Amino acid sequence: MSQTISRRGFLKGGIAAACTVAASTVPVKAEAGLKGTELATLVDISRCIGCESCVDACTDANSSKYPNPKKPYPKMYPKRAKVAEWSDKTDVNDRLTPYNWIYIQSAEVEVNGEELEINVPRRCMHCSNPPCVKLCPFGAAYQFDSGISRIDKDLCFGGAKCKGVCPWKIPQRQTGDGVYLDLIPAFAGNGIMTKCDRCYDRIADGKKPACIEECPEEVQIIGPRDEIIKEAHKRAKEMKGYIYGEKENGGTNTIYVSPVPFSKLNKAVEKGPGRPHFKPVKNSKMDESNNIVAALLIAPAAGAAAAFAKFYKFSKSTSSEVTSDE
Amino acid sequence: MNKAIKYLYFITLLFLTLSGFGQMPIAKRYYISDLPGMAWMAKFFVTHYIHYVAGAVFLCIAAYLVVDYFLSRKEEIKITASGYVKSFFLLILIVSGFTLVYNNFEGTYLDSGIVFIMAIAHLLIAMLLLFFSLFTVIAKKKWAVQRKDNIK
Repeated sequence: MSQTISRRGFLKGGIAAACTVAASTVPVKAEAGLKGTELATLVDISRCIGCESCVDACTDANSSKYPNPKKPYPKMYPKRAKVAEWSDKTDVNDRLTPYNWIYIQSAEVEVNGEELEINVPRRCMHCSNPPCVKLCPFGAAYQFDSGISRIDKDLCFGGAKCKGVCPWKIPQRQTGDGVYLDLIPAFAGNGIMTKCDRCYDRIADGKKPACIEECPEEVQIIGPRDEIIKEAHKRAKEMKGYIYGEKENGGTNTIYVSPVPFSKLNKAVEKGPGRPHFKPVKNSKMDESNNIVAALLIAPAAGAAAAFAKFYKFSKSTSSEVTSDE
Repeated sequence: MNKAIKYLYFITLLFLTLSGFGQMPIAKRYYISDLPGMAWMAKFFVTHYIHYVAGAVFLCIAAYLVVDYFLSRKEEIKITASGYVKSFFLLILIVSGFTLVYNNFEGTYLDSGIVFIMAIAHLLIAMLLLFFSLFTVIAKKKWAVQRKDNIK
């Protein structure tokens, strides 16, 4: 709780005071339990029966983290800023919402002449280099060294940039909650963004994420990323199946194994807001931008070299002038 | 500062400021990206790339001016108080900027508190620098003046 107060205090208070407060209290020490290996989950689609145990378990485990908006919502300007209202629809479970961080995406697919019903638990992919975390302009999202990415609702303004840069548009917004209410809600911010945090608090306590623990079919397993990748390839080989998530967006920590090609699955599933696709996401735009970093390192050296060259040229011309005068 | 560097510095700061503000999701909300030629302001990866490139040009100019000052111009010009203030702001922007750039690499897990402080410091100091620069333009306060013993 003290962490919540101090973080809000940071934004509301003066810079100097806030820096002092933040420096002493912001680091989340509960993260200590998450130190270590990058963890990934394997989702074996062939096992999922669509019973939604994972969906219910997620809500039970995470409802305390869901938005708690205060009505009436402040009027926002200009009118282009729209209210995102889900607090009256908390029972919606056929898509991702601020109150539903995992859902079952179903599709009828034909495989070898046989009609199959495929069910896929969908939630945040937890990218290895998550743009939602790295590009948040307010530092409201962060990544544990276990690979889990999380949005801190006490710092989030609900600007939805995280959703904009996510290849799967996972984060969902709820208006009327968050730090923006304490600042200038009419002109800046629009609530909080929410998404699966892969039960980081349960993992810190040595437990499994709720969706994994409650699944009767053991659709998901969790473990060190390299081991999960090995297991995914083993299962894919056994079922002559396909893998998604290993290389998408530069690599994620959610590895799907499917008996059906993902291109086929992508065509069959319902897509749209809160319903992510299974399209290829070839390159990581974060990695592409990191290629420019070399320029950031070379640039100062180039500038300094130019100044040295100018100095050398000037010194040489001065000394030759002196010599010719003599 | 010679004129070419002055213009390059101005253009670089302009793009750093625009792409910097474009890091926040405000360009679309406030119709900035609807203005002709400004659609890029609402494209987050484009503003991200431009910020990096403009940052590299800025660092090149800054390194040139600093090294040139110590090698050739220290006895000729004197940094003013407002020059020192701006230099201080720029130094904080460079340090916080580099920290955030470092954090953008895969497998870098900086403490959430550090990232938060750096992100907010980068934003607030950039705004302070803008306001202070506006003040120095209005008050005609220069970065540096000729040393009196050097005026011929």
